[in-house]
Amino acid sequence: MSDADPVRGRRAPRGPRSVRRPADGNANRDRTRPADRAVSSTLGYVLNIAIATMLVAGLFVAGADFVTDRQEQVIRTELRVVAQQVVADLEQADRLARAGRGPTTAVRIESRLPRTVAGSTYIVDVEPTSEMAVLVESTDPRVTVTVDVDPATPLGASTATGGRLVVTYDGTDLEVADD
Amino acid sequence: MAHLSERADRGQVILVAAFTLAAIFVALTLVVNSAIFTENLATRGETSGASEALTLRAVAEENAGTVVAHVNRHNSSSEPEQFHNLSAGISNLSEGLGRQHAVDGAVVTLGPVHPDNVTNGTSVVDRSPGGSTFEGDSGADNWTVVSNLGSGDTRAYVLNVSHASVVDGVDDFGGTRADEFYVNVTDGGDTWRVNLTERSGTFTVGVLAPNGEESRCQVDGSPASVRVDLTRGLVGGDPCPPLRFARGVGSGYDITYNNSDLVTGNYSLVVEPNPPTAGDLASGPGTASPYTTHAVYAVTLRYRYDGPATVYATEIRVAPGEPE
Repeated sequence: MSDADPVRGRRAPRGPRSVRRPADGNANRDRTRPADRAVSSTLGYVLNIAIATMLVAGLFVAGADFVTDRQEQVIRTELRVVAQQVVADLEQADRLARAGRGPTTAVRIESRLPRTVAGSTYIVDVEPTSEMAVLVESTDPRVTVTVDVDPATPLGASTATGGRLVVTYDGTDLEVADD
Repeated sequence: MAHLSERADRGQVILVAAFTLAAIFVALTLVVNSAIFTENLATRGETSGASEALTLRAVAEENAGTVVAHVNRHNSSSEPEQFHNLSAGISNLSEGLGRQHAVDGAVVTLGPVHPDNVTNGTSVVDRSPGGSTFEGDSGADNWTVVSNLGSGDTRAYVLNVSHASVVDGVDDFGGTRADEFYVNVTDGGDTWRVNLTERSGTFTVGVLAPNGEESRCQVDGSPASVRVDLTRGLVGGDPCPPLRFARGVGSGYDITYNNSDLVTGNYSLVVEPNPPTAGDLASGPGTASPYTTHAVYAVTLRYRYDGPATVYATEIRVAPGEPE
């Protein structure tokens, strides 16, 4: 438009623009750029959502995994504490039973344990096998903790659920039961 | 960027993600809460009160022993009388203990006394005011106090002797010495002997075991009188480990005194046979001679402790001064 005219030796005069400029200049310019050809806005949309959803899903999985892992760790620790408290009560009852005299000795020790551990219920199992132990197992997730116990009084196989627990001695053996 | 929409609801996915993450964090809170509670649970001490149940049992046993000793010492005229006194005494004791510990939230009871649970025995006593020599009823110096006792048939055997009255000399375990007082416990084969001497203000109790082992326990400082507890193993209130009554002597033993004119004081013992095979003893108090009288040898009581978290019930046997 402003090419110099070598023959005439003068510029073409700049007259008033006869071509109308569009109001949104950029869009029009984009339509003509080569990077916009064969692009569907729907596809862009869907890809956007898909990537965002995948990122978020990854975040969920990592988060849930983290929480489950922590939950299992906490459950294990708490079950160990519960098992040791039950063993302490068993040994206390054993001490009382041994100090007692006569077949009519009766001992009963109550203890208040938490009803759930990190949202899961649990059971306390006393096993008088060759290795005497107290087994505490949570329901969901399944975590098992065992603590050895060695009382002089014989143990009776018994089970109790969490919450209020009672250790009894009725003259023959030590047992746990629900209160 | 794609031309999305003119509406103002953008970022739905991010919003949903944020909500779900918030839910996960709430679940994490539950887990953290559990972890904190575990710390608290782990630091709890023994709150069941079971050790208190054992302590009070020992207290009840000791106090009941005092009641038995009191019953034996006062008004030992007849067995029904003694049973009545014992029953009343234990009942009072139970009430007192119960009231004292109800304040701490525990109910303590000491069972009623049943006639079947009372073992009657005999008390052999020589308790003249001011003390006397230890001769028998007939005046003999070497005499049998009680004969044919089984093991576990003697308790609360206490000699209260005057320091000045025992012989001044070094004790002699060899053979039978003629100038020191000694107690013989013999079953015909094995003999366990205790002799009493003093030298320069030191009172010596010598013990000769059936295997020939000699031991001594001493009290310094010229005490006016020394209390020798043969069944509890105490000399002057202090433990004397070699003094274990009738150690090594079999069943069917006799207790004899030798040179009993060489000691002054008083003594008493309680034996289980009722009546015992007669020694040289008077049948009742009144003279300066040693005499026998009714006594309660042992009583079995039911002890029950009802605490806030513990219930403990057992039998206790009360026989104060019985050797271990």
